[in-house]
Amino acid sequence: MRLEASERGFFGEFGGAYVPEMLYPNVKELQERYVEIMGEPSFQAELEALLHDFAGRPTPLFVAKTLSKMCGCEVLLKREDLLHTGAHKVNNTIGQILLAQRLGRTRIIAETGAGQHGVATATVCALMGMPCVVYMGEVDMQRQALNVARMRLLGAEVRGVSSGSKTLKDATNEAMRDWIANPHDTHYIIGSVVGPHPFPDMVARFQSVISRETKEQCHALGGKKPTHVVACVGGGSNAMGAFFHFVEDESVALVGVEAAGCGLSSGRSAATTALGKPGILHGSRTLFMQSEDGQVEEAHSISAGLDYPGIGPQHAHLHVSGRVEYVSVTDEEALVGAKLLARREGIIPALESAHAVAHLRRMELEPSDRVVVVVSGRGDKDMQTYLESFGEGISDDV
Amino acid sequence: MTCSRFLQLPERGALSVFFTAGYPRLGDTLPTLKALQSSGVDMVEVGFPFSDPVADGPTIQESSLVALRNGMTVATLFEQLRGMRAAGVTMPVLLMGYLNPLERFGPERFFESAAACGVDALILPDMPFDDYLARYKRLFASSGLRPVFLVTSRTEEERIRAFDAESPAFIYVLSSDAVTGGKASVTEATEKFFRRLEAMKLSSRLIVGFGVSDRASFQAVTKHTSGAIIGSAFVRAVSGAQTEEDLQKRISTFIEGVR
Repeated sequence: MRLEASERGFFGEFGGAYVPEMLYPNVKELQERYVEIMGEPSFQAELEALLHDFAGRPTPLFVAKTLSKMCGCEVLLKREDLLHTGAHKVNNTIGQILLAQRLGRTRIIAETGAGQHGVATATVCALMGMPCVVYMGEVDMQRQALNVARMRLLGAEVRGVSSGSKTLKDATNEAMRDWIANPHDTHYIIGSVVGPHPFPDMVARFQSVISRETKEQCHALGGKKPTHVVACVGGGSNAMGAFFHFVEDESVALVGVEAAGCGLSSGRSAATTALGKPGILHGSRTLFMQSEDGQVEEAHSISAGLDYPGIGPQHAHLHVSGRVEYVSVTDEEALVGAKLLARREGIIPALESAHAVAHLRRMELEPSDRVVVVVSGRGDKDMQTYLESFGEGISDDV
Repeated sequence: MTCSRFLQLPERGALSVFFTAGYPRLGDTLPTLKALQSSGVDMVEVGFPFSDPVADGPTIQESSLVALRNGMTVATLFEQLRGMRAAGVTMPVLLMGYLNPLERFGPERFFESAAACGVDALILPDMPFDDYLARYKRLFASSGLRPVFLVTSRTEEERIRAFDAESPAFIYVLSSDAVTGGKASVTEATEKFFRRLEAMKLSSRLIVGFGVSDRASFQAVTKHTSGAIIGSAFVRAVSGAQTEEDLQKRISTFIEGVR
């Protein structure tokens, strides 16, 4: 199958641009110009240079020997955790700030959950000398205090959001309200493949560098393409980037790993494909967790980056069409995954990425398989959670 | 007939009020409607709450969350409104809210229920015009409900004319770039925008909303338009009302202050 947005930004029945009239001109301008701007040779050149020199691309595709032995097949880790700022988020923020400049915007806003997208946005704003406001739920500000400090050190203003569940979905609402109030000078850098068209498609294109490199690197590593690509899904940007160039090749199995939180039936989960229903949230028609009456339900995950009640419209489409298999991993399983990667491969992953690693252990694999797991971010920001969760047992083996 | 109720509106200075259904208490919806009518309000927008109202400021967000905690649902709202016409509410009544609760309830069922209650029109701020044409227009037509479209100073003339051609209940003119609950200041640019709209000689009425909060702002924005909607300021005025009497008193005091 192909994954192309229709003219009105739909992927199958999902997508579109459900925005109030106040945002219509901004969204329309983006819709009309993003493909053209992204295709300009000067844009491409500037993007490539920054990704290489500033962000540190390409990221390695690392042969994980111990995990390979454990799984009985080849396991390759796509090391987005080695990127500048510590996660894949910067692939998108570099792209969008270059786009914002070409649209003549002089002020940047963003929402953030774990703080990784906020840091990646604050970083490119500092680089380009643009003022930056990041909206962050007050609950997230507490559990990701280090990232709040990083954003502030980079010169961004972090605005705490106290409405609703005080997490990512509310930060997204607040950023949209800011954009409504400041449509002339401001560009909203959405951090995931969510929001009104063209954001899901635009962010996917910026993140698609992950699968472009993976393809090339697999080729260099003996020429065999992957049999599986595994990535965690909150809104779904690293997964979308990792799947992008493989979607059309049905021989590559694609697996999205969502956060089951305390368990699928616990009422404290973020596993959208299992628990969500179609509806309209944050400007697009997609799947999200909601009550019988259509009220958005609060998500829960130990990982702030996966703590979002919905998924992007491409993922909703890939789920409904069956092209991607979506599974979920609990908080506890993710912690085991984190420890496994730390102890066996010397990599402390972000809690988000730990979900993908945790699923690897449950997969039924053949010796001839070649599995790519995306390590979307590094675990520095999660040390407080690791300390609290493991307690005295932090040095114990898995 | 639904269209006749909009004909009652005065040519100039129509005062419309928005309130959140089920707020401050679950049972306050119909009493609020009745009290607004006795206070001489010309038209009412009843907000059906949504957990994530992106076009609304803190006041309406908060009232929506309180209403949801009170147990407000779309089904409950229709139960509450079922008797409104029999109870003597004669002014135009509109429902305003976001698409998701409407879609979850079922679009056909929503339009039918609203029409059966005697609702005259729907304001759905996050309904794209494309979707209106492709999906909702026929539901408006078959139910007899009328749409309302929002315009801002950045909405292109061609688009405004396309809205006007759909015979909306009125065109909802946004006084400024902001979510609800801000402060309207009628600057030179706003005046210019209102005059531009006036000069377009649209067949629909122009009603101004967002940022209208008191007599001064009401009078300022209605100079070039047919009327205005007060939302957040009214919601603040009834916030915390404990009894029906208290509610009625707050409503009449508030409306007297605007007229």
